[in-house]
Amino acid sequence: MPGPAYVVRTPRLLLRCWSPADAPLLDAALAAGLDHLRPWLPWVKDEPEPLDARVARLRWFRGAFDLGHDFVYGIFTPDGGEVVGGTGLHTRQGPGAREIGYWIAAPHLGRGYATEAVAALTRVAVEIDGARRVEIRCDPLNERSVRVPRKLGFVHDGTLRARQRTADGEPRDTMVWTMLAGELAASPCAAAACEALDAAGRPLP
Amino acid sequence: MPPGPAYTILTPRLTVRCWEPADAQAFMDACAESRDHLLRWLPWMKDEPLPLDDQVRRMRALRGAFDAGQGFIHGIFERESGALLGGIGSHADVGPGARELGGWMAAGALRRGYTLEAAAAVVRVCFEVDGLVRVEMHCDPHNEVSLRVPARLGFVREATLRARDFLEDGTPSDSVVWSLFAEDYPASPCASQEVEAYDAIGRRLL
Repeated sequence: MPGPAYVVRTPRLLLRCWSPADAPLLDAALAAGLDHLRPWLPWVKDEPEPLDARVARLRWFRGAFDLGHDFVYGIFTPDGGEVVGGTGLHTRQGPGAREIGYWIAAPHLGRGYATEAVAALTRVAVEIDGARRVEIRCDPLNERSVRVPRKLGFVHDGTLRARQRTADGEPRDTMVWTMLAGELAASPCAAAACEALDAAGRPLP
Repeated sequence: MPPGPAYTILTPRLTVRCWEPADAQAFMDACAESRDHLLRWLPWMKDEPLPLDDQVRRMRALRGAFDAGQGFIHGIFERESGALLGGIGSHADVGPGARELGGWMAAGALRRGYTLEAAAAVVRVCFEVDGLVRVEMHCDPHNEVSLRVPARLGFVREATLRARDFLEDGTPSDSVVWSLFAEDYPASPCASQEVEAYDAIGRRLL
């Protein structure tokens, strides 16, 4: 199996493995506003993180990527000059599966960037990583997030009760959306234009 | 000072830095060039040069370990041209506060003092950035090129441990243990090595 994809280009976005040197760009993206993320992402309560902690986190992400443990991507403008958000192909749902998570920085909301990134990563998960199932989990109250799997043709398998906690420690439900590998071709994801490169910058099929 | 580790170490002639997956081709070429002169001392050279995909995997594993804080293996490059000259790294398997320093040089990079320059620089980083109490070097008693490095850098030859390693054909080989302690480091030749060191985002450490 070739891969993983270190770089994924879509028509409007560059997705790539984080580098520690991205710390200042990530700071700038988060400094632009966190209120839209606060209810949904527990890590937001620790923001702003000191620079050293930020660097340590990005080293951790890249290390896990290089070691094949987990695949966290930054979402950038095509020239790499600005952080648009973050996403990832996570391995925590077991063998043969990838879970996709995503967030978009305040200045870039409302343009379909999350949908564009997730469509591309769904293809990468199935076509490059050989995933048999791609999963998206989100809070049913997070309408902006729920729209992404719905638009991309994921199936709402169900809503698990009180499976997560909010940042305040309150229980909350979790929607599980999945796309099986065999469903990709007929889904809107199949039409997503994307180009993927491996660790050495070689195009992946 | 920001916390380490040092991802990039500069000396007058060398760039010593964390490997990148994009170095895979250069690493493969260096293995092809140097296999015969290194095989006697580095058993893993037996199967080199491995195909490019394996080299990319190796570079990823080395950078991943570096990012995860598990091991600090650098490539050695000529500062001016960027050409790959060798590798050097410190391994954390010789006890608390201590690391073992090891490395290799490509056949074409020998006899120019590059090994001493790289080793002295990494020793400085070990003591001044990483705060180690002891740095060790281990080498085969028949490897005269390697033996000169700790001797010239002020390390103390402590012992020759019998049959501690194995050659490529499985024959046991002895291992000479050299060490330099933090209290002896300031008076060693390493301390006067000209060095700049930078962290993962390019902040100066030394």
